[in-house]
Amino acid sequence: MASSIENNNEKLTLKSSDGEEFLVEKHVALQSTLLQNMLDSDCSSADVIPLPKIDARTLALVLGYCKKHADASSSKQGELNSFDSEFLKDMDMGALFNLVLAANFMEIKGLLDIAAQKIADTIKDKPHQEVREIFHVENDYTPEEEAAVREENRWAFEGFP
Amino acid sequence: MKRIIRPTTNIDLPEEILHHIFSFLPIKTLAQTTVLSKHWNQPCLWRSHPHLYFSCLTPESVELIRTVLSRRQPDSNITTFRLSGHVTASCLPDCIDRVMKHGIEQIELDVRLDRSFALPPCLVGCKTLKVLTLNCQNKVKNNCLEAETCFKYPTSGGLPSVHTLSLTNVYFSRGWDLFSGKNFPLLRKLCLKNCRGIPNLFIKCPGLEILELERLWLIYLDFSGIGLLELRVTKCFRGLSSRANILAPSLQSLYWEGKVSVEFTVESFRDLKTFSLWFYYKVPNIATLQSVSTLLSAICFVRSMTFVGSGSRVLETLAKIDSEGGLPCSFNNLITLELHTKMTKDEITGIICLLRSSPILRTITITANSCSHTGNEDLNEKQYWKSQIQNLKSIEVHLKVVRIDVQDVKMHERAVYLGKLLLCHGRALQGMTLNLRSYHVVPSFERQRVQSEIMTFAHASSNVIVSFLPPHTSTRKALLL
Repeated sequence: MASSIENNNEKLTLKSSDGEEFLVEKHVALQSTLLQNMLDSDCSSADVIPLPKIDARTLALVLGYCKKHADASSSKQGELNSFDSEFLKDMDMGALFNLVLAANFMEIKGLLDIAAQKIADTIKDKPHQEVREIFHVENDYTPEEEAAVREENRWAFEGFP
Repeated sequence: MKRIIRPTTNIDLPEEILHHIFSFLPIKTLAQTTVLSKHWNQPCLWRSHPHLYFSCLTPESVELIRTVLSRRQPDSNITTFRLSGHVTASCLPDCIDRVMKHGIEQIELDVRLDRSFALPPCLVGCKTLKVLTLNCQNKVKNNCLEAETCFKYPTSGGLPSVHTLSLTNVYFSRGWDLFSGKNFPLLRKLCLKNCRGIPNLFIKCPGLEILELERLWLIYLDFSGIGLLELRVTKCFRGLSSRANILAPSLQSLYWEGKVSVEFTVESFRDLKTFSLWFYYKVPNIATLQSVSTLLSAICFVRSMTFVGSGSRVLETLAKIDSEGGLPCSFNNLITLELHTKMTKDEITGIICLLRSSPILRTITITANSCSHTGNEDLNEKQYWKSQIQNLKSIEVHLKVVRIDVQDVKMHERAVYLGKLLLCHGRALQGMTLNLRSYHVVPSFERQRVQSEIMTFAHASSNVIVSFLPPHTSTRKALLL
């Protein structure tokens, strides 16, 4: 255990869209498939890696997630699960959207899944108008068209306003 | 204005992420989203997304799957098709037929069925399918799965491009020689759980790396695979005259739970890293001892060994084998040993003979979990430990790390005694952890007494660090308890 960390104690620098730099241990960065592929190719770890789509606040969250998952051994799945749910617990929709975009860009599958799951859980019981606002979609149906769609999936709207 | 009343986000998510988020919605909510906007009903959600997951299905919602599949653009790929919930068997052939036309790679059906469903012949032989998971959730009432509602694998043909196959509650009509290299040339991982119709199971897939078998009701298992790395066998054999023939020269991890009264034909696993064994029987017989001996000979190169789980008879069996001529081999590579024990005399004998046969053992974890015997025997046990543990070379020279977990308050006296013995003899010892988990029900002065008792007598190793778990609770809390 100790030796594997010693071998990987190289660090690399990530730069957020708003110019903040983050020094990251290599084994933490490897949680991201994007960074892993960059390191596997001839990209030198001395370079600063710019992440133009991710702001500092989001990047700090992402790296916190990566560090926890890189350091925990696979036998502590229960501990990681409770970390994951605690991690997203009080996050607002804006932060969740930023997180899901960052996880998608950096290719961190576990984070992408838990953030997407959290968003799905949040919108599950919300009224339609609220969901439209969250995702910025317009209701472009005519009343007749909407009635037709409802009729088509009638089973899904039983007991639903 | 709206933003102020109901603060949301100013971020637009790309379609692929929307798909991903929506894949976590139950199907009913997903169907409701169709009225949000035209854009979401038509192109975005249903027409082109490669991963179709439908969860929390009910028989009436199945119709939506058909609608979705029938509206697909003809050239769009469906990579993953996953159903979970309650479905009608009659809708499945149509669904499978449709997804196959879209180059399906992964099918996962984790469902409750209204009646049995036989895999359609077109799926067997499908050239694009890489992962197939079938789990029938219907409760099985008896062991004859044929009469129950389940998935059925009706042919002796294979799945030529599948690399991961996981089947739970599946009945094989013609299965005994199904798993051959010819039928499954690319298979790397195979899990069979609670499957029936294969009392004689032959598996000969050269590329197989992971094999998990659970509750299969086998009489005969014949496995050969030069690439196999991991084998888990859980409660798979039925009668007394079962046989297992295992040829896996590259095996690294072996887990065996359940019947050992199996006639083994095995060759040594030279690269074995971990071995875990759990079994129970009421009356031991010669055949059981013979089977365990054969198994031990095969795993003698192992580096880490685990005998955990309550009720296991492994340690007693080792003692019996030892008394009838000794263990068949020694474990010359064994570094780590983890075991659960009730610390009966038989089990202590088993532990001692393991220690005697493991010359380079470095780490041992002992969990003491409940006992039911009297004080008199206790004294005998201590004497016995003491007489046996002296002159054990592995303990004197190699043992570095000891952890003793006490789960039952009745065991703490014995566990503490064992700890002291090891401290007394282990010259190379570097760390000992005593986890007195049940000590919150013991007054803190008792705990302190144990701690000072352990700390004050002479240790054989000068740089051993002794620690106690859990960390000391406050006196007040202890008094309250």
